[in-house]
Amino acid sequence: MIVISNLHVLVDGKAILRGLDLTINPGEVHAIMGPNGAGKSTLSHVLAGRDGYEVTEGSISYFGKDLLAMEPEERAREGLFLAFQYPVEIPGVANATFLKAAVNAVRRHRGMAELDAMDFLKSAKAKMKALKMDQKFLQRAVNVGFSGGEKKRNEIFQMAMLEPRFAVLDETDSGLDIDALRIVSDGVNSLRGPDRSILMITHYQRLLDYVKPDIVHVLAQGRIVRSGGPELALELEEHGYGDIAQPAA
Amino acid sequence: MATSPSRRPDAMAANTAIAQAAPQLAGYAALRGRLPGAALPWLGAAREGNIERFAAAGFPSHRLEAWKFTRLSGLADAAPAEGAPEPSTLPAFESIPTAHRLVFVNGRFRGDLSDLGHLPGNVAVIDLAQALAGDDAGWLEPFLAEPFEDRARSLAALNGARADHGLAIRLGAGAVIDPVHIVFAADASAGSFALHPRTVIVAEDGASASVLISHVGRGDGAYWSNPVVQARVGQHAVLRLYKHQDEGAVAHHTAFTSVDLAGHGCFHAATLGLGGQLARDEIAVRLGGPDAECRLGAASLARGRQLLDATWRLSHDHRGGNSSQLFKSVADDMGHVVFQGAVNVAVDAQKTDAQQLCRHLLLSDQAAADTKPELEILADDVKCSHGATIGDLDPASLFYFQARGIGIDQARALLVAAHLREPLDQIEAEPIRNFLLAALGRALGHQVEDASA
Ligand SMILES: Nc1ncnc2c1ncn2[C@@H]1O[C@H](COP(=O)(O)OP(=O)(O)OP(=O)(O)O)[C@@H](O)[C@H]1O
Ligand SMILES: [Mg+2]
Repeated sequence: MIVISNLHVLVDGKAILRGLDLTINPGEVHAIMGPNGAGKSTLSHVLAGRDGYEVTEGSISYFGKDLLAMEPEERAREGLFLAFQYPVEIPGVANATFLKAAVNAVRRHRGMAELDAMDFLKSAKAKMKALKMDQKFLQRAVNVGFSGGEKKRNEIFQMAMLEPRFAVLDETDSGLDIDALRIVSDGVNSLRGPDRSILMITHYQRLLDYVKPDIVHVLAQGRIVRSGGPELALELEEHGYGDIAQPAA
Repeated sequence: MATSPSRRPDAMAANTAIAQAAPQLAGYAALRGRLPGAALPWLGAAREGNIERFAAAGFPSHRLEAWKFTRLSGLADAAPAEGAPEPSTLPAFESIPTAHRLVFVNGRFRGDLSDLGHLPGNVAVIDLAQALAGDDAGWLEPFLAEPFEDRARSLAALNGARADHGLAIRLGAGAVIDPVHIVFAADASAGSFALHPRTVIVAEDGASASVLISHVGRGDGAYWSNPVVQARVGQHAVLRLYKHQDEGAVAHHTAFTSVDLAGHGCFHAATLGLGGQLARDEIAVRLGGPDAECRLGAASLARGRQLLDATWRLSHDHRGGNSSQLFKSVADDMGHVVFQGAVNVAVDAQKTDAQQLCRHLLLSDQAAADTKPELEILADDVKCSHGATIGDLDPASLFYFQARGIGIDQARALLVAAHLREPLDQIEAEPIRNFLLAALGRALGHQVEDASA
């Protein structure tokens, strides 16, 4: 279970999250929607442990552990995965090298034997096939020269390899073509299970047609201002954020 | 009274220079009669001429523009002049199994460690002493008799006098050899000594060669390696010349390489600089005919108190030349990296395309990097560019690794390797590329995989 309570976060001295509460149970899929600049990516970065975000109040409990006390790599090894809104390009490091290092870091942490090159390739190729990714991407430098959609698909490929228990997808649907959206959604759905939690940040109802969320939240002015079932997304699609996202008088 | 205030210091400097040069002159005099090709009058005269040039110039001072960032005083004060003794143990070195291999240990050609295999037709790869003992040594004269006049290249002049070992590679028109691995190994446990290897490479018109030169030192003696390489690349010929500089930890390495390209000739070079207390790698390339191509790359890793200097000079003398320079470095601890890249475009060298890029990574507060691009362009219809950066590892990249569970140390190591490997990834000769990537991996303490596999 992931419990975020009363989270306050400053970025560059500016209050971005202001008392955010959110609880996600194992097996649940939550969606967060909200206007540009509301703080959705900020939340995802704070969850992943990025520098430059000052938590001034509140806590995040991650399966009973104090998430905020953990290093980013420790969080990842404990099964937290962030699919970046803007995946980083790493010239000179092959996708395979990067991912093998990641998979083995996680396996070591879990007390599992490291994968050798053969086993890694076998597993990687199977997952790529499911995501209809060309195997050439393994030898290419991480995200370098990838199209927007290819980068997003690569994030989902990494997620499939790392088998997280809490996945945060920050606008993974943006930039995907219609077919890619379906493929990526299938990838996310195949990860669903009673022990896994998923938090999807999105602007579009369409993704939620493919990956049915249990709960939809609206993040505005730094907190969750409304939560509801999947029908909330439909309502937002129709009426926009309107009153819900307006600063309280 | 017209007394110059600077006169006394100048006189003192001159005295110091004489004092520093004296052991070298004595060292040369003691060896003179036993140097390779001692029976050849033209060679004897050339050696005498070059020792005089060295005597007049002494060790290059940092007041020379070309030595602005690299102080040789530590070497000059104590430069060994004796030839190397027999090795007490054979220094360990790696080699390329599929290569034609020539090995020198402590300045001695080692037939037992060399394996030239089956040389293709019209190709000679030969120990210098042997080449000079033969009947047709005359083709070497233009190289071995070269006078090194430039005061900033006085160490090449000293090699011009000493040239106590080395080799010659000669490819007839259209001949091909790939790869050749030359190993200059030093067992430094024997103390301090000087090595002055000379390599001559000639690729006649249409020939093609890939050559790797390794300088490997083991043991903690303060030896000095002062190699000179001269190459001539004929029309439509291709020379790929790679270097693996892994000298001993307290060794000095001062190398001078000069290359002359004929029209449509092509020279590709890449250097992996790892070893030495101080290593200077100077390369001068003349694009001496139309439409010649030159590509220089280097990756330097300076740690501890190492100083690694790469000084390149490209002369575009004819039209249509194409050159690129890519220099990547990492300086950690108190390491210091120097890059000087000069490009001269002569007035007739229209349609020249010359690119230069230098990227230093500084991993500690006490590490340092200097960059000096120098562009002198006399032609008007050219495309020339240069860029230089100095920086730390990118925090966004580091976070991306961490967010995938990769620890910060491994993340840094992978990013450092990624930074340095770029010039090595450009090596066309696959066995040499893999060899150098593996050497980089050993230096960084982890595997660097061949991305093109
Ligand atoms: N490094 C930073 N320095 C200053 N302001 C920042 C920084 N990072 C984020 N912000 C600000 O914080 C606010 C929230 O940004 P965030 O990226 O979390 O929004 P978002 O909800 O993800 O928006 P979008 O839907 O456009 O992705 C924005 O106003 C943004 O400009
Ligand atoms: Mg965002």
